[in-house]
Amino acid sequence: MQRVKATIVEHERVQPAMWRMAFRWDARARGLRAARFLMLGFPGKTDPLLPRPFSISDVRDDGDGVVSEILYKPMGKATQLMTDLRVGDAVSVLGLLGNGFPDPAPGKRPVLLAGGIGNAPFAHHVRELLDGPFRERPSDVVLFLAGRTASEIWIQPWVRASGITIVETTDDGTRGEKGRITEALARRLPSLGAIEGFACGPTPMLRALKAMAVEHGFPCHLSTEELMACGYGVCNACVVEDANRPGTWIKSCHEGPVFECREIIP
Amino acid sequence: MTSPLSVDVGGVRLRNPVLVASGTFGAGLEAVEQGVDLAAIGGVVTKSVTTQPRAGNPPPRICETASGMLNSIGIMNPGVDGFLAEIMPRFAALPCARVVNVAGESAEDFEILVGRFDAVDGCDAIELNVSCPNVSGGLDFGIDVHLLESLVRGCRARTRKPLWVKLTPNVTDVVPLARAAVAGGADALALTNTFLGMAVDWRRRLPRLGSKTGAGGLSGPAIKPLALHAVFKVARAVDVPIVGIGGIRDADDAMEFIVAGATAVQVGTSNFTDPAAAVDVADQLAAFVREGLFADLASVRKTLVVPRPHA
Ligand SMILES: Cc1cc2nc3c(=O)[nH]c(=O)nc-3n(C[C@H](O)[C@H](O)[C@H](O)COP(=O)(O)OP(=O)(O)OC[C@H]3O[C@@H](n4cnc5c(N)ncnc54)[C@H](O)[C@@H]3O)c2cc1C
Ligand SMILES: Cc1cc2nc3c(=O)[nH]c(=O)nc-3n(C[C@H](O)[C@H](O)[C@H](O)COP(=O)(O)O)c2cc1C
Ligand code: FES
Repeated sequence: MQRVKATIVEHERVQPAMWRMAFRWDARARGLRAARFLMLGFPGKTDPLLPRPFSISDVRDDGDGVVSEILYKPMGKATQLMTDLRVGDAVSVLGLLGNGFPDPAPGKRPVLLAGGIGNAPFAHHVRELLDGPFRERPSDVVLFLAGRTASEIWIQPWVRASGITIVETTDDGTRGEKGRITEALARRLPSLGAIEGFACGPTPMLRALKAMAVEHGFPCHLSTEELMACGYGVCNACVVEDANRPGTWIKSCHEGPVFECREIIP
Repeated sequence: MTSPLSVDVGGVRLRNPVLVASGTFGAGLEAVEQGVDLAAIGGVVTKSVTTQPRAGNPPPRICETASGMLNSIGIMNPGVDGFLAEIMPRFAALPCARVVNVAGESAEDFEILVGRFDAVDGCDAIELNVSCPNVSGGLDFGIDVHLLESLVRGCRARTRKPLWVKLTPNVTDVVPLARAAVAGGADALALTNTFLGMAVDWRRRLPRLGSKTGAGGLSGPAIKPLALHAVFKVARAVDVPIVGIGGIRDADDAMEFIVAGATAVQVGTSNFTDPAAAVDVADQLAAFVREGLFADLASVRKTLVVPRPHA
């Protein structure tokens, strides 16, 4: 068994279509880095058959040991089933997998760009930055939280209290600035200085951010979300198109899921 | 003393009958990265290798279905030169039997590939994928008895290594194909490959897979009864060893194939749920022996009896 069982210690609905699940499993001991992911499986079941990928959202010590947390949105078969799990139930976990976001280059301001459930990896990302180079200047870290509507906007409360700069946008204007994440970013580009983008969200958002990054000449790392069967590099399902060799494909679980936007055609 | 689980599959000695199936385990290197001990299984069969590099099909390449999955990967692989340069040295170092699966679009492709691997140390056997539904032209060999026999004969002439032929189930009756492969010189038969199928998003009036035809290959627990029946029939028709494949998740599944006539088995889709899935099957088989369920595999192989009605 490379998979392990982990006991759920917290499970709550934080928004109408967003759940937070924490289980006793030490992501730190497995090479934690923001945007690395695990494959959550359903042993004994044949439907759903395949495990599903989830980013590590946050990790902390609750006194009894290390607890790792995911945020998820009910989408279909597996994620609907997950909402029925209770504290004390076990989940089956394989990971950590994938590469994760790189450290920001010295002198660059990290701009974190979350679309919808793409908020998942950023609580831990903020923790990494505030434990590291941005300890003394948290407000230099900028987090954009974007959603179609107000109920898609959420981040762990400690992140809001951490002193980082948070910008919220919704397509329908029910919360924060009305419009798209790219528009909100464009308005701020002149004042942000030299930035490095870190993005997770729907593919159209990643595409738009790539176009912006190329036009304005800033580095931008995209955490891609492809359909996966295995998560560890053996099935060749999870591919993204290689920008250096269009028409050829890269396994996002193994070489990614994070790519500098110029490496891929999202 | 031979161990109760060791088997010989057409000239390849395996420490136990559990292999991993082509296309579901890379060349074993990623599982090693995940900490899996491949010394616990019988062998690894590589992803199909083709003469030229293949990019594969556009995504989506998989779709989960009830207790199964469809795939239209399209044999994404670095081609024989890339495989030999980048993968073979590490594949050859694996601590289990190393079977290279090859796929061609013509008889000449197959013969070239077999010839290349005949010369390679660290390749213990060659498995011909005459059945992958994803390559146009590839399907034809697996569904036509004459083509298949002459293909296998041509490959046989290119190698003295054990030659396994992996059959497609996408035929009315697999038995004549099995006989043709044996007549052509196959040392063992592996069956089955995936069953052609389709998944549809009716609201968008679109197939759920990105392949040109919209179709893909079905694998996983959903196909086990079909694969088991194929193995059962073929085991009664030919004398070469059979490697059973299809939906195997645990040792009970493996034993079902073995009593139906298989000498060894391959674990495929289950590798996606756990990189150690095949190790677990092998460990459970060893536990069966310890528990006294059988003394060795030879004593249970092909012991399935179909009672005659009113006998
Ligand atoms: C590296 C990675 C990290 C991820 N992290 C998270 C996370 O932290 N939180 C979270 O909620 N989700 C995350 N996802 C997406 C999550 O894995 C899927 O939502 C989940 O697999 C859906 O399973 P299901 O059985 O509920 O839905 P299904 O029944 O499989 O699918 C329902 C619908 O969602 C679509 N869909 C399924 N998977 C994806 C996908 N990966 N991308 C786009 N559409 C998809 C299907 O095509 C279908 O239309 C991540 C995906 C990847 C690849
Ligand atoms: C994603 C995927 C890729 C596959 N690729 C190949 C391949 O390249 N060559 C081959 O001979 N079989 C390939 N197969 C078929 C498997 O080796 C196996 O025959 C089939 O999946 C049935 O076994 P299972 O139900 O245990 O998965 C593939 C199967 C899957 C699911
Ligand atoms: S999900 Fe299987 S190779 Fe990436």
